Amino acid sequence: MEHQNAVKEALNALYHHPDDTVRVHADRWLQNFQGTLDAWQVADNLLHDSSSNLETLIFCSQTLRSKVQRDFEELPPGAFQKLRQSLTTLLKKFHKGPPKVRTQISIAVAALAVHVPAADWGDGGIISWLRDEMHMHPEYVPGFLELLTVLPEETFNYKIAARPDRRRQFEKELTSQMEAALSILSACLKISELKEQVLEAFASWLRLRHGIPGTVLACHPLVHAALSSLNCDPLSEASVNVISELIHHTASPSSGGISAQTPLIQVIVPQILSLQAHLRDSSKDEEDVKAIGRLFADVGDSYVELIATGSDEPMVIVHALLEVTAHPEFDIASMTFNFWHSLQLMLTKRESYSSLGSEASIEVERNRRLHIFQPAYQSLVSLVGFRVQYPEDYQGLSYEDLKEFKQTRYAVADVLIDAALILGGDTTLKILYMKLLEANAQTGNNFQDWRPAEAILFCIWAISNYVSVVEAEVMPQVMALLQNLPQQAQLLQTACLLVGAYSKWLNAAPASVSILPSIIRILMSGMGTSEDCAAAAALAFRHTCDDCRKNLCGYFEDLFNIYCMAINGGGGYKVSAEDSLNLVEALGMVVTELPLDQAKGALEKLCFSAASPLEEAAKEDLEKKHARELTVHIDRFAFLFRYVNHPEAVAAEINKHWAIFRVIFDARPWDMRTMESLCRACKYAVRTSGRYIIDTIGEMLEKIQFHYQQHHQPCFLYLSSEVIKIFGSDPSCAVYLKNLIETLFAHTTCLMTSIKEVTARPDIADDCFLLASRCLRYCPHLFIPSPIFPALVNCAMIGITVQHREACHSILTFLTDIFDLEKSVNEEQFVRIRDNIIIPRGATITRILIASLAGALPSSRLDTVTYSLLALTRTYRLQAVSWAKESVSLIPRTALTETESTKFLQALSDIAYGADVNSLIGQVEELSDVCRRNRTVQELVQAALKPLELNLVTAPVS
Amino acid sequence: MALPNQQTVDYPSFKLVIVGDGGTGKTTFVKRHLTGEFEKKYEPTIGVEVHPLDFFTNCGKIRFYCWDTAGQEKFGGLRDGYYIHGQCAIIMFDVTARLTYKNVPTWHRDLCRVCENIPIVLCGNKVDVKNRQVKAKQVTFHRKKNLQYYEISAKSNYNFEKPFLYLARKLAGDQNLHFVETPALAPPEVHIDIADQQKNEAELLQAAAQPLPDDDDDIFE
Repeated sequence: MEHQNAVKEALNALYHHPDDTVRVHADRWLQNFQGTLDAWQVADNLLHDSSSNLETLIFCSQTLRSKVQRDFEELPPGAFQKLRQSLTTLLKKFHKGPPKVRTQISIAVAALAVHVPAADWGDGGIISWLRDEMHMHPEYVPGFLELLTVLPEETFNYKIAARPDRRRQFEKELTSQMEAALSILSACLKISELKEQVLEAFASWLRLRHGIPGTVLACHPLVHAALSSLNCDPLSEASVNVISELIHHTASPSSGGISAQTPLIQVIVPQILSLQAHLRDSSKDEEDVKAIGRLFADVGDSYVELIATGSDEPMVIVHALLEVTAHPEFDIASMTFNFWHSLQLMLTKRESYSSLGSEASIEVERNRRLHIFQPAYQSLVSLVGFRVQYPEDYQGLSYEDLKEFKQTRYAVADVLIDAALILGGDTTLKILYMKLLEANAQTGNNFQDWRPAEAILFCIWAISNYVSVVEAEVMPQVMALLQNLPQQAQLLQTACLLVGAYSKWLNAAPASVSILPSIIRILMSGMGTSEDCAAAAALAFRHTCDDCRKNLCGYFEDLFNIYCMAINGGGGYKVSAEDSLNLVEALGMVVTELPLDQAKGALEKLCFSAASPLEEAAKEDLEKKHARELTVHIDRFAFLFRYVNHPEAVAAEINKHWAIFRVIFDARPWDMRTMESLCRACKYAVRTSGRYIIDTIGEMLEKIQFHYQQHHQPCFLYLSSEVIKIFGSDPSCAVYLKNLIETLFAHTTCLMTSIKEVTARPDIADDCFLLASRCLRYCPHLFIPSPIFPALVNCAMIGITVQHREACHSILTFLTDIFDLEKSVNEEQFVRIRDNIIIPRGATITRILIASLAGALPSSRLDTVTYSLLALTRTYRLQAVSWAKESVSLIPRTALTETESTKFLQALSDIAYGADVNSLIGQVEELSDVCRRNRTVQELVQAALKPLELNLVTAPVS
Repeated sequence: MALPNQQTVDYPSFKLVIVGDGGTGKTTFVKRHLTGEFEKKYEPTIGVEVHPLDFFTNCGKIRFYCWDTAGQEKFGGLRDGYYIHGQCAIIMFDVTARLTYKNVPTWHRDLCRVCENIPIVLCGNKVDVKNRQVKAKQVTFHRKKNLQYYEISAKSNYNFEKPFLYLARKLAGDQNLHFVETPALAPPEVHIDIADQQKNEAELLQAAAQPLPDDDDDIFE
């Protein structure tokens, strides 16, 4: 009684107390209460107590449900009968509601049935029992009906702490009773006020995806009940759910595929299509229109394969879907977009025709089908095209509405691409161009209203990848047209985007050299119009320089002038710092095209323009600058080093400007942003110039070694990684590379002496172990014999269970790379050193890995952990299996049965004998599921394996 | 209504339940409005936190009591114990983590088992992040009744108000209801232009047709 009152008080506080701290306290108390053994009895009592209020009833029903779901194991054997009896009484007591309480009790009964095998349940299993109960007590039907609804749903409820084996068995129990369940539901149909509920239950059983034959369903009373409810106003939600499930059912492989389900399809599809008229009825409720759209989209998505064959019958579906696409509401229309895309794939993909055999017959059939669907895709171009036009009041649109409008445009662009793939890019272009001429004629030739023209240019932009580069009919006219556009920001922005998208066409055009200057002029005017427009122009500039570099490299000086104006904001240009990188990249690509001596001069000019602001800044106080003031310029260096593909020239420039780099390294080693930017520039310099950089590299490495020890910036590790990749195997670099990695790793191992420290700096852990993996691959001779190697292995063992995804992944990959060492370096001496390090630690590593599988790491990481365990087992075979055996034997039998652990160990031992990974994955998942099935078990397993306490290792080498 | 004894406000108020997997950004989303700050740190919510959020509409002020529930812990919290009296809901998933979208039906079902027929908004968060795993096209769950979908970014304020506006309209039964005053949001952490982002994606598609340069910053081989 005392407990019961305490629960009531806590609930009152949780839901009604104005004071936060009181509520938090009540919340904690209730959570603890739910975990206790007493909760079973207290919740049960309160549910039977007629004085309990609604909140108490809901909470107690949820508590009892959770207990049955998760903690059923804690009940003494024999408690089941009593529990079932009590729950049945409650289900009857609440048969009229409150519905929320009834729902929870139903779920509890369902969970009980998941735990208890049919034989132990008695009365022929839950469905027979249910049928008999309903028979005997027709007055309680609504409660039992709810139980019937949740049973299939709970089959896949991961919250129920059932073992995987039992869950599979339960699914079988249910599917074997499918017919009985449906006949109960059919009988309930007679009670007309239960119709919605019956249909919901039917939908739930259909979700089990058990292959009920199409002929049975086609004349099933439940199907007909659902179909007849489709004509209700408002639409019955349950019937929509049933029909939607039926459509999925007919298309699912487990039901025998479409051909086996034809009788059912022939019954449901015409009924669905008859709803078409409602799409045009503006008085129809919006949720109903949405439901109709959903059914149509379901039909299209499910039967796309059938539709793609081009036979007559399914064409009505295509026309119906065009009608949905035409719906003024974008949310409704866009439901069909996936269909148009999948249909396009079905029609164009080679695999769709593979049964035809010969190349010639495939070609004939493909053309036949394309021909059939071309009219539909032509209509599609018109149906979606109008949606990309800026609304008249576009200036009044809020920031977010404008964003939404842009998203709409990109969704439409995707549909246009589908159309282009069916109709051909050039044909689609022609259709769009005709529309452009029409629009222009209508608005009086001079683009008085720019919006229709802009919309069509946007559509032309969308299909750029599908228009032939030698298209000679329409594109020259489009390009000519662009030169006479009014100075309207949105229009010009789209024009710039279009230029960039057609840069390959520009390069291939016979008149390329003569058009290019006028094209560049368009872009220059774009850069001066608005910031958005300038962004599009900068991007287009990059594409044009990239694709037309051969034709443009004679104009370096002119391009450089544009570049300077854009970079310095001269000439009214509105290019943002970020977008200006497009211009840097553009010039870089043009310089690549120049012969070396000219390229040197050009790069020198470009680097000079990036360096001078930095040198200016250095004259003042570098430390006081905002990072951005420096990174803007350093990033330009990075882009130049990356895109100017002249190794010698780049090496000369980094050497020349090293002085200013060094100054910045020394002035701001504490500043992550500046250091990242600087390291990126160095990385590209190293990557592009390769061995030419030898004069600068020594000093560069010295700097990062020195600063890493004080400021441990992860980017220093990442730059080192690049250096190792290029110079790792170079004997002349051996001394200073060895020094580099030993310094970096020694310092890192000092930073990461506990899981807490790894958790606090996951970025360092991530980059450190990425670097370590690279060392294994590129300079094993420096890394493996070094005393730092075992220290780093210890450090990895400490960090395996870090929750950070990337850091955890890098650590596991490093360990896997060690186990797999023979794959990259098969030198006996290294293998021997590796074995001397791993074998003494093998049992511990295995235990941490198994603890990770069993709950120390999130289950989404199973694959990575499994792969490490796999690699370890493949290398150390039966020895690894015995390590695993040792660990698994620590897990109490109440958590993991003898059979379960044997299965797992057997799979591992199969791996040792050469089995492939798939056999292991299934067993790992089972082990993971079993060990995580509820909190008690998970805690028990972790307490037995103690992965974190295994990390006591000797002090790292310093 | 959410906290009947705490009716300190004399304008309509509604209990809004926010659910979804751990780490999808539920707390950040709510706090964005409360303090205007974008939380960079991730601290899993324990149990539940209740925050009142006020909005000004053309029909007067309204308040949402947001019950921000813990998504993280598999075994912790009262879970659906918090849903009682819920009048509307937001289900959050993270477009950069596929599993969080896969779990949406479960959240939806658990919610509907306690709160029948309430308006629900499905929010795909973190659309500002570059490597999306769930594309807008793959999101089809909201075709179900009484469910609206919005892509949001708690980090950049993108579409922050949309979910609340949809819920307010449904609750008021007035399609023309609109917010009259933007609640004071802190300046966005990053200026993410979603369209730009898609432009970038379009760019990527174009790039996909070309041979890949060996320049990926993040991939170590």
